Amino acid sequence: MSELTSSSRSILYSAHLLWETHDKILVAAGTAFGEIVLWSWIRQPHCRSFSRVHSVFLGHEGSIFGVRISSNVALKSRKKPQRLLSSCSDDRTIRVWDISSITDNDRAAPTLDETHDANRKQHTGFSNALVDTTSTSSDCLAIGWGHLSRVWSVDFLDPTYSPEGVFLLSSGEDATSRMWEIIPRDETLRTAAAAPAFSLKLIDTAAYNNGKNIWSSTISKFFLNHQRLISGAADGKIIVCSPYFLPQSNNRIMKPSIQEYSVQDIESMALDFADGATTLQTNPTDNPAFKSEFFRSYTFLDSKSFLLTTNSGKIYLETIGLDPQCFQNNTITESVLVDQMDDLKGYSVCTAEASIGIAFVAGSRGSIYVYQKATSVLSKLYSIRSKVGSMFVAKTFTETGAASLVLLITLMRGREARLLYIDLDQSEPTVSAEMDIVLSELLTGLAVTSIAYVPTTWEGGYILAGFRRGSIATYKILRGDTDSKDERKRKAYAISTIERVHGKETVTAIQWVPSRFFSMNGYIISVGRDGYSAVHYLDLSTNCTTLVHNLSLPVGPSIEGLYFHKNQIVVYGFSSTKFILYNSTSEEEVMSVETGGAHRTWAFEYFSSHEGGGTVVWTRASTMRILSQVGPNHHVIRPGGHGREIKAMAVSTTKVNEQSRHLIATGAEDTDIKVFEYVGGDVVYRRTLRKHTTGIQHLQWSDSGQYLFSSGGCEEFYIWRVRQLPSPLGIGVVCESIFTPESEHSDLRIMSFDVRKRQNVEFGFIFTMAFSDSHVGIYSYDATATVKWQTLAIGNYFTSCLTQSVFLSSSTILTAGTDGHSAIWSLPSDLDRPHASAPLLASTLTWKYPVRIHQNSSKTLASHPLDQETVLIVSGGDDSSLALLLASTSSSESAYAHPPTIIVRAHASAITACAILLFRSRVFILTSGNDQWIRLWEIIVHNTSTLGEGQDLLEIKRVKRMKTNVADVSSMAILEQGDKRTKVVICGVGMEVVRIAWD
Amino acid sequence: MGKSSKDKRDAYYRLAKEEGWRARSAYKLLQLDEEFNLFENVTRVVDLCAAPGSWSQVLSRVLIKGEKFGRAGWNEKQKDMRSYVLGLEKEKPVQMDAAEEFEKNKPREGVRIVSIDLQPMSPLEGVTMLRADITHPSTIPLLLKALDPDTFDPNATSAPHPVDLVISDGAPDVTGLHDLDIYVQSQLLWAALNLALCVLKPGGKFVAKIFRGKDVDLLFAQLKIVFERVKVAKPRSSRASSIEAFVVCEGFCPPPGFKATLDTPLGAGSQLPTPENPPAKTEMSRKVRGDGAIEIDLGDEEEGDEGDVEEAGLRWIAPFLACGDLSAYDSDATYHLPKDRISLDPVQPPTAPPYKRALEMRKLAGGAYGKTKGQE
Repeated sequence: MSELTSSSRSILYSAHLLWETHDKILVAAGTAFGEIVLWSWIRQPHCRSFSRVHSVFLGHEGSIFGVRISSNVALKSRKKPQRLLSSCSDDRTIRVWDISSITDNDRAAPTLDETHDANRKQHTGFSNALVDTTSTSSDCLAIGWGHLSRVWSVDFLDPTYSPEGVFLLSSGEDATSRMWEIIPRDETLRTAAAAPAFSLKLIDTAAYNNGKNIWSSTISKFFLNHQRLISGAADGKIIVCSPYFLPQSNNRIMKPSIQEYSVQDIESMALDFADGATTLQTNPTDNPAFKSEFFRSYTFLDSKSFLLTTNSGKIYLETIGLDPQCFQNNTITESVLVDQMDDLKGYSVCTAEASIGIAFVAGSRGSIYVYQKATSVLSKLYSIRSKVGSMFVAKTFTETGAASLVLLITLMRGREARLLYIDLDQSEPTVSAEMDIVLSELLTGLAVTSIAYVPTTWEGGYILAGFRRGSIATYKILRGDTDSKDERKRKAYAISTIERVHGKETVTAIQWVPSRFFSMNGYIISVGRDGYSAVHYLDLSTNCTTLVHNLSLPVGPSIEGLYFHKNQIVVYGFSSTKFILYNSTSEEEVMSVETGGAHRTWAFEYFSSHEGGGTVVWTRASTMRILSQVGPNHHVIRPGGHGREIKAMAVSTTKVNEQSRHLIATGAEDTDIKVFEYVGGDVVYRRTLRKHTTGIQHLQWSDSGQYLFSSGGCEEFYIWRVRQLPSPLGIGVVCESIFTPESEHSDLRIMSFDVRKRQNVEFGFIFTMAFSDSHVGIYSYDATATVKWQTLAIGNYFTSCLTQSVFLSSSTILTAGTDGHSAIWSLPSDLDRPHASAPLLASTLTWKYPVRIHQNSSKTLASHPLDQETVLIVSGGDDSSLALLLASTSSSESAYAHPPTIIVRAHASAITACAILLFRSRVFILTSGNDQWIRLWEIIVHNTSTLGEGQDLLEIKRVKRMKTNVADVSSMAILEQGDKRTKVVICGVGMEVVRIAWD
Repeated sequence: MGKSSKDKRDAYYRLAKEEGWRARSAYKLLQLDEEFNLFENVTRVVDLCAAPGSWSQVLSRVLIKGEKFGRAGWNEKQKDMRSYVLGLEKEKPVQMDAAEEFEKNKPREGVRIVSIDLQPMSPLEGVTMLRADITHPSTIPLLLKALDPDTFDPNATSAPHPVDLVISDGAPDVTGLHDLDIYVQSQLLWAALNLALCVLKPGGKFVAKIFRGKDVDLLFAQLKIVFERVKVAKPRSSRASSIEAFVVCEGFCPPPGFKATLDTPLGAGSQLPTPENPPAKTEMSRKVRGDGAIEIDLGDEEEGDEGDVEEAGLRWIAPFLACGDLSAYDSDATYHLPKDRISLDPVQPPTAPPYKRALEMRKLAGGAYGKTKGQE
């Protein structure tokens, strides 16, 4: 074995080795200075092996992050198979180099070794390539522009699977994987003679890694006829997808473009399908009023057929050709003209209950028609005196278990909406009962935008209605009342209203999750055009509602619907120019269709099958477009975490039915807070809290686990209420309160905080916060008081940044900062006083007992009471030392029970995380830092009376050390404390659970 | 972040603009000097990875112009500047008149400063600038010639007049991939060390940027072989949130018979010879500080069961020193600035990024400028 070094001493960022023959290895290496060095190692039978440099390719204007040597590939317009080299760079380009001549004739090719050093004198660094116009890049075959930021990797597709051409795959910082084809350059476009002979054509782009840096990607060849793209990103997530851009087997299947159908197309298709005799011979141009024929509305009857109405009053039934082998479908295989109604001319609306294939169509004169897929019969159901505004349908059951429907009809500008009970056990659907719902202009507005039906008895139940103005109202419906002679009894009024469920934006969908069947209490899930998903707990017997979940979704803001699929919540809507189907439980995109933005006329129906997916149909530029997708557009092999390093973490352990439940909250530089649950040895993702606009500085749970507190830059401090909700709702999170910034520009960072529960108040807390401008504040929060926040005290330290503040007792806090000193501050005595309605003047705090514990910043600090009177404080410093303090909380005379003890050279780097751990009445400390070691220390607090000469009260011993894979460790916490072992979670760039076994 | 908010967030960014430094990193060298007296008896210096040149600027002002940035002068000035910036005094501190300044500033004799970088740099008084790759053997003759243009012998392989100090503030563009960034920084350090080994005089000093990350103790141990004293220092002007620090190596003592050359650089295939007598282990020690605090050094670690065999004795934790007075600015603190403050432009505009052409291409194609995330 011997070591080889290329003659380039520049830092290599990338390399690729290829065994060309049994005795030859080709090596391509990309340097930090934008050069690509191609060299080889050759073994000859009778002399020793040697290596030589063949070529140095110049042209890239930034560091080379990836190089790849191809196998022999057949380029169009080239007779012989070629060997190519591809490279990608900081300059955002992908380049392809021809190295056929180099590899063809080993002996004839000039070796660069002798001349190389001479060359290198001119070419030390990429700046030369930028400046020296003489350096040619004639070997460059093609350049590809397309990535928006740095390109990390590039690879050739296996030519055996893509015989039609030469393809490249690249991925990078812009969170995309891109597929390129090498095609001959259009000669007419070749301006300069030196321009490359080929060009790289961008075929397609895949972006399924949540906007995170894609560090690696590859094409799997496990399935001969089905190549898949696998990519891994900065958040640790690995996905697999089978995008259309990948050439499949010997045929290249093109991505199905969204199909377009004009009204005329539908008409002529219907004519082809219809028997001549039964075709309705109507000519829309007869009536000048309906000259312009266009699509009015769509509604799905089931997963593969839908009704559409046109401006001339026609109703068509369309069937989509679903090929289950095909990922995406888009063709209408059958079009049938169902009927044409005069009273649907010029205006029509429709809705359907797709689970049982029944649709309703209504027009301007108040006639309501029903269409049954099973019988293919359209019949008139009901008539109302005024123009129908919109219709909402909800499914329920009769006593016999048969399905029945509830239909709510709103009228244009009507103050009442008509509710129909529709029985389906007759030969055709019939209205069995009807009732009016009185809408309040004042409370909710008149525009109903969504409903849900809550059955509480066989006789009746409640209607939950969502409104355009953002509220949800509850109406009590009794079927018995619907026959009442007393007109008043036939009217239902709102018994309660939840205001601003989605701010002032439309409530687009509501689902009711009862605690059990016919239960009077349960959960309302709603989505709206504010981009939020909300859950309210509703008790119908007391009319009490509680907001238990309200978080913004990363898609939207126009969320238009929600449904359950495999016990997960799936939402859909429009995001930017796309229609998005999104699993909000797993936070994965299922489907993304370029619709050119949100549209007025559209419909979506999901597939209830295992794979999921669905069909979306919409009108754009007066044509109908359609796309159906079976299954999600990608699968997750390994779920991801944060996209950037975790800056803060807190663990909450609570007992639920004798079972310990561990929630881990992490806050990262990507501004997100994520909640994970530690179950069965796995860290399982639960929720993402998106509200902070800056990197998270600190996180803490309340002792009860009901509250999570978070702080960041720009004086952001949020109070989150966290609840466990029944499946499939998961963990409910509501941002209950926001701290009001006090500084003029609210530009301070809240570096750290600590929390104490307020006495005599159930949901009240006292906080101490450390600010980056060297001041500390004491605040009180009471969820039940009229004035929720009160500033109790403010103190100024110096000008250096404070990084820590903790309560030592109810009357003292300790701070530490970048100046390496800790200080103790006495607090006013009346912190727990009730909140006054008028703001009180905050008292001024002063610091005392400064102690130098570090040379510079305290990076991490933990405290734990050892007994009634002493608190152990452990601080890890940037100076790689560990400081121990024993603070006494009893007497005010001396603040410390012992002078500070400092262990220097405790780690090789800054100590950035620590935890105090009590085990069998012994005190242990765990520390970690950027050096990626975890160290376990034991602290022995000696008895003052038995202290020997020259012996310190505090004795510290090294116990153990181990490595961690987490870089940039920021926090650690005890997860589980057992008799035999303790589990500790460590966060930084990623997270890790480590186990300490006690012997 | 805009100019103005960066001013508030970063005191040294603001100060550098006000005091005419090319980059805020000038303060890092000044603060290192405050602690280590780096420039004492120093006349011949090599500055590596020098662009945009703020460290060379410090060398020029200290060694050529003889300006004083000693502890006393520095603190005095800081105090004045601070009260000015904080708006306590509306007047800028009175500048010393030229005669007084000349009196105070005594330029040193026989000063040679050579700065090397791949990027071009604007000229500085008394500083010879070389555009070269510090990793390449051909750079050594170039450097020797620049150091002694009159007596340069092109056939000499070692420096006839070695230098007193080699400094390097070089850092790569971070990729965001942690391991890669730390690796590349350590490679830069190796490159700087390799060059230093070729030109440094015995007893000379070496100062370089280091990332205090994974396996930094391996680097410390290697440096300890060729220098008598190795310390890791963090100036206050370097943010606590950054893993950046500086190794300050004093007392260059190459192992007997060791001949450095860039043709077989250390790090890439070859290692420093392991000394026959490994340096004595630091024993456990206890010290009671003046303020009563007890400082304990538990000593070098015994290789336990968990220590890999191959790294036995290869790790060593260098003592840490925070540099810069406590009254100096805190790079992590937010400062309240007077309302009528005018934010200055940086002294040196940023250099052209490698993706400049890509941006131009996209602009031509009508693309969104500055967008970095892709979409389908």
